[in-house]
Amino acid sequence: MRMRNYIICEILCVLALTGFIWFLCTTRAGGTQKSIDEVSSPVETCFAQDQMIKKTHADAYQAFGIDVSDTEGLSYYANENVMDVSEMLIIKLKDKDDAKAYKEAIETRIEERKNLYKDYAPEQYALLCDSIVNISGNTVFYCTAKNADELYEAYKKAL
Amino acid sequence: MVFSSATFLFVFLPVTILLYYLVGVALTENVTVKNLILLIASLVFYAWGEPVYIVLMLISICFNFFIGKDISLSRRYGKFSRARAFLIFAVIFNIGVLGFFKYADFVVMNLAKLPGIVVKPLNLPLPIGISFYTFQILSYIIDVYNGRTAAQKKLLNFALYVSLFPQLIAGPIVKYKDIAEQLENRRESMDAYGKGFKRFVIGLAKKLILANTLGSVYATVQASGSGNISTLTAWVGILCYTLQIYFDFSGYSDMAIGLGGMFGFEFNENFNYPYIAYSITEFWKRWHISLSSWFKDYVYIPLGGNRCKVPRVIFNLMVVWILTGLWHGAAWNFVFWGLYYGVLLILEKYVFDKLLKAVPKILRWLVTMVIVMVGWVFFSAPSLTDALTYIGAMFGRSTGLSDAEGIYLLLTNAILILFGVICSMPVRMALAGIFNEKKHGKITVVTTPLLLIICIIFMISESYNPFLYFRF
Repeated sequence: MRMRNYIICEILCVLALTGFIWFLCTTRAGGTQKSIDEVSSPVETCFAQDQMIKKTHADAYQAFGIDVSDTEGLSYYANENVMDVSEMLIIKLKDKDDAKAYKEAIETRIEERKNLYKDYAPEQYALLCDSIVNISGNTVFYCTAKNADELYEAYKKAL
Repeated sequence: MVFSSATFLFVFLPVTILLYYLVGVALTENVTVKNLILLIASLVFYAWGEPVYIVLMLISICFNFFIGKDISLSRRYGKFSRARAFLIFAVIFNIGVLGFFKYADFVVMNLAKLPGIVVKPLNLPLPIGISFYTFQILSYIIDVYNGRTAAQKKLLNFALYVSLFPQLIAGPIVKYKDIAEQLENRRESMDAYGKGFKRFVIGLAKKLILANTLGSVYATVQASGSGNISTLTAWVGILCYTLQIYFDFSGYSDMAIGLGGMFGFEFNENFNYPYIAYSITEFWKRWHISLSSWFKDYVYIPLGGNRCKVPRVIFNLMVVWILTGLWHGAAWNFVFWGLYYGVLLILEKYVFDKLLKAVPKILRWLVTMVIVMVGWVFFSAPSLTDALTYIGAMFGRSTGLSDAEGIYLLLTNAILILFGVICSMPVRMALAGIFNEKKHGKITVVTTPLLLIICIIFMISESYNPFLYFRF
């Protein structure tokens, strides 16, 4: 009799686990609990020397039109040299449904810069063509850099 | 919440100690009250970082508590096949949960590389400490099945065993049979509290003063990129990482053991000066002892251990080491790291055994350290390709034998590295032997608070710096 009760408890636990995983997958898949600094710090360690420096929220607003008050936080890095298009942006959103709009803003900037560099800086143009833009739940990642793949891998691990 | 944070040191720990000793020890002297206080504190500690995953841990606690009882009852009534079925059910449940949260995206991302397969990773954050508490739970279930320990009767005690905050998120992996008696019956004393506090402060110092400072040197080397560094820079970088990971992880274990002591628990040691090892076999008897012993007891020996023919022993060792690699992370560099040690241990056991005994000790130590340092490259690199590039730089495929960066890093960090090397050797034990117990006690009374103050200064000036082993 006691054993039967335990089995019922175990089945209830399995059902609770299934429900919990379903809840996570529908509400949190792709999201991260970590702060923006916890996500961006490990990525920062992968920067090549003199590649990029951290920029202010005002710079992010100027470049992408992002108002930081609409986000849970953002980290924006760019190269100081105007002839180097390297930049990286990580945004943690308050509402993951906004991700698409942010992605569009980033893609608009990439297109604008492609037009700027196309004719006189083919190397920089190629980097822009290989830019990575990714949405993972409530986080948006954008990177244009020689080692963009490496930075993207580090970002995915940091999530 | 991390031990090396102001919230833990100035709020969580004092409040927990006060409640535990005031209500649990002085007023009631009741082990149930003490355990309840520690359980609530542990759940708060866990929920601080990942509130949603506390649900997962509670489900896991309830499921394993009931199935442990089922296994125990089945054994008592002689229904061994039924007990075996419950054991299999429990193993599938626990490995399934660990697999889903830790390895599902790794499998998905590898499948996505195959032509014609379109699958998207879930990108769910990893529940902190899941690898540690799942292994603890499995040790309980397997030991109950084998009759090595009795099933826990009280859900409170079992929940405390799984969630006890000192060792919850980065070990050591405490086997249930080692702590079962202490859950029911333990006595706190001023002596144990003092020793525990001292151990905690030593661990804190290892983390804040040594690991973080050494880590910043390695971060500088990493920032240069594996392909752009000289041989000297590569060696300085990996030497700093070698020391960093030891102080980081053994520091955490010291803090866990110390905190346990402050609440009347005795946890087994997790490190025994691994960098003085003369062979890889010896290194793994000294490094992360609780994990090695877990794999030995619950995987290697059930597979037949070394009481079989040589090919089977080799198979057993490879299984254990691939699993050890995978336990550390869902990435190919960890699998390779596991394979690396598996192959080396097999070679040491069957090929170089006699040769190693003939070689002078200092040479054996040097070779062991080089092998360990190369191993840490696989462990620390973001990918397998990066690891191989870095190893290439260490052995000559670099921008040159030395450069200004390498010389600068070596000269500016020479004292730090030397201090790190000394602290990773059993020097403290040798010093303790010089002073008698009374003198040693007096010195400790002065040095421990002083060290704590230095740690707090380091903590305030440091930015975010998580423990390396948290990601496991």
